Amino acid sequence: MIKWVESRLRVGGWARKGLNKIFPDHWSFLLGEISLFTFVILVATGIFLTLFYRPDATPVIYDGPYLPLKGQEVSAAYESVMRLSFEVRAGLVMRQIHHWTAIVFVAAVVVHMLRVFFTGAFRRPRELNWLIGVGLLIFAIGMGFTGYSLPDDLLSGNGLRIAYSVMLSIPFTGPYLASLIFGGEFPAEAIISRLFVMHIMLLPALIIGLISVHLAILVRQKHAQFRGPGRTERNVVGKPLWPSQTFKSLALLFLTASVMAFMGGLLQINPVWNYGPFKPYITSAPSQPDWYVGWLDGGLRLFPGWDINLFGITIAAPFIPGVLVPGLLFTFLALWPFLEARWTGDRAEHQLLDHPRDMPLRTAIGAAGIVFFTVLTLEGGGDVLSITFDIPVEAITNFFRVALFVLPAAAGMLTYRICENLQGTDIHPFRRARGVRLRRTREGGFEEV
Amino acid sequence: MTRARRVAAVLLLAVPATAGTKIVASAARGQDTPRRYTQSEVEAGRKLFQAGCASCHGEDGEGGLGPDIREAGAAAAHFQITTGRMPLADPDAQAVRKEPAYSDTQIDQLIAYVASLGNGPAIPTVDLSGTNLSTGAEIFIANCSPCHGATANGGATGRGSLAPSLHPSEPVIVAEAMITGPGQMPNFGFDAATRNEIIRYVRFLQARPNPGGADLGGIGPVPEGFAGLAIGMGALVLIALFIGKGRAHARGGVES
Repeated sequence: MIKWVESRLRVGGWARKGLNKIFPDHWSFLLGEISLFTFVILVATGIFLTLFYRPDATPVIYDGPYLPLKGQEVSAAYESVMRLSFEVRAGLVMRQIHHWTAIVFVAAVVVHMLRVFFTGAFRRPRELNWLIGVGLLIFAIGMGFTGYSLPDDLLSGNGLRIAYSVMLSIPFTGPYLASLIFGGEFPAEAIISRLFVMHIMLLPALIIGLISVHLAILVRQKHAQFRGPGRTERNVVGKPLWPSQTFKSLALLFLTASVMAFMGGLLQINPVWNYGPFKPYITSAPSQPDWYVGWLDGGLRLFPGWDINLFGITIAAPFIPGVLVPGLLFTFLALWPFLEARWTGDRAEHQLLDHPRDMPLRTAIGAAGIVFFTVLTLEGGGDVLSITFDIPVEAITNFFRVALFVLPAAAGMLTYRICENLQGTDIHPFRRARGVRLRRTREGGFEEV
Repeated sequence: MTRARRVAAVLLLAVPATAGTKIVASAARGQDTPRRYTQSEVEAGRKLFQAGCASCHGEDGEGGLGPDIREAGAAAAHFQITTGRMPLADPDAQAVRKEPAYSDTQIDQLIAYVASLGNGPAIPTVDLSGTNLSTGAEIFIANCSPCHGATANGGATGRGSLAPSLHPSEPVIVAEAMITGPGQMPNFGFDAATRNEIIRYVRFLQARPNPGGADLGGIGPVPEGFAGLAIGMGALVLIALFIGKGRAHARGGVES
């Protein structure tokens, strides 16, 4: 059989080389694999959901088994999600696995990216893969948002309304752009089917394409590795793809799937039947997007309602926190490898990774960035924090308005100092120091054992 | 009315009754027959009122630090006192549900006195027979969930006030809130039939029907995101730590 294939395709040499590809031993190198495997689970459960979902805003009368909605007018899309949840066998658990996996997928992408950032794995020659990674993050967030909007429930409808308003706020082109994308004025009926095309075709195609390039570049450039005995800029030390890494990855795939199945089976997520069908004149509270859009929502909540007038042009309030700042942040993120190379003047190739403590400025900026996004994300849930901790919601917003600038600066400075203090030592910041074993000598002195 | 429905109605009426209140069942749905209070109840209530309430609401309920309550009626008095919201220690704080400060008899006396001050609304009758869950759900989602949340778990309404969870509220309390509009809540002016529809759905939510598993508080994507990051991502990082441990005996390799 192998001979039959080999005699026709002549891939033996190529395959042997591939099977011997070396994977360095470090748990953080598995974060990218987790992102990949959660995406695989998303595709698998997503195909199942596609079989039953109807991307159609036509009003129908709900006549299913969920009594509180019986007889109400809902869209065909919402009705199909209700049917999926209550009538299709295993439909609800599939929906829940899909949604939980989406939440974890973006988280895995972010954590993978943080590892690459803090260890300097984006430096030459890997700038291209960093750029692709930033693209993948943006498309992953886009996947999440379009998927969140598909059920056409009250909560997701409010999210779409915010997206529409943010688009409207873009100077000059906003109204045209919003009208073009939504197919008319909000709530336009065309948007559901357009979101569906984006969610199941356009974005997955982009993500699969970029993942392929991402991995092809990884194989071509080989893995970076941490410093260690026998590891140089000219080699990669680790385990080969076959058999060692294959079984590790398979184990990781199955365990990832089981964690997602566990969550989907036991924890309720996005109960659209509680929110009810979307109606343009109703909003519900508390109303939030999924976590990876929370920072955008937080920015909108944080920014004062200033409509800025510049030379007779009005810049509507949502533009700055909704378009300008996120745009600048992602540009900064994408250009980071080039900015850093410019500041450090280091344009050499690097196969050995940095210890975060050895690059204190980068580590400090990364820490500040994490705190910045965390503050925005928390503000996105400001009203939930308000009821949970019994603090007025305005007080929370005012606190975060100050904290958005103070806390990242403080976190950055603290991180910088910690890095400086750890430099030149091999102390692990989260583990107890191992210490040195001493022996008392006959003469009364001490020596290391 | 079928027998089953009648039994259900009696059972539902028994709920507020066990909560220490006397409800007079009205014959026709949608009509509240005011309960007659005796003169001695009113008199006893007046004494209690002057000791515990007059410092804010005035000697004769005409108001002062607190609002004028002469037209508040038995419905508002019953709502505020049985849920422990009144008396309130700090007039600037939002009244929240706590243990009532008075015994059942004293509460009746206070209600009798407040009811005698004017022509305020009587304690409403809740009758869920003939109500439709779907009608109630639709009205609730449009009118109540913007503040109390889609699962009636409560929400923040701004300026330091919050819409409480409706899960501990007996049906008659929910009805009284709709009639009297306590605190920041508007008086919705629903008729009795509409109120009953809404209460039907509130009782459905109170039973916490949770298809799909544990509801994580029923307040949407914030706890969901937290669970996804802490449980989901947390478990996967632990798994990566476990799998990623290099096994010394495995055949290693070097690639250059």
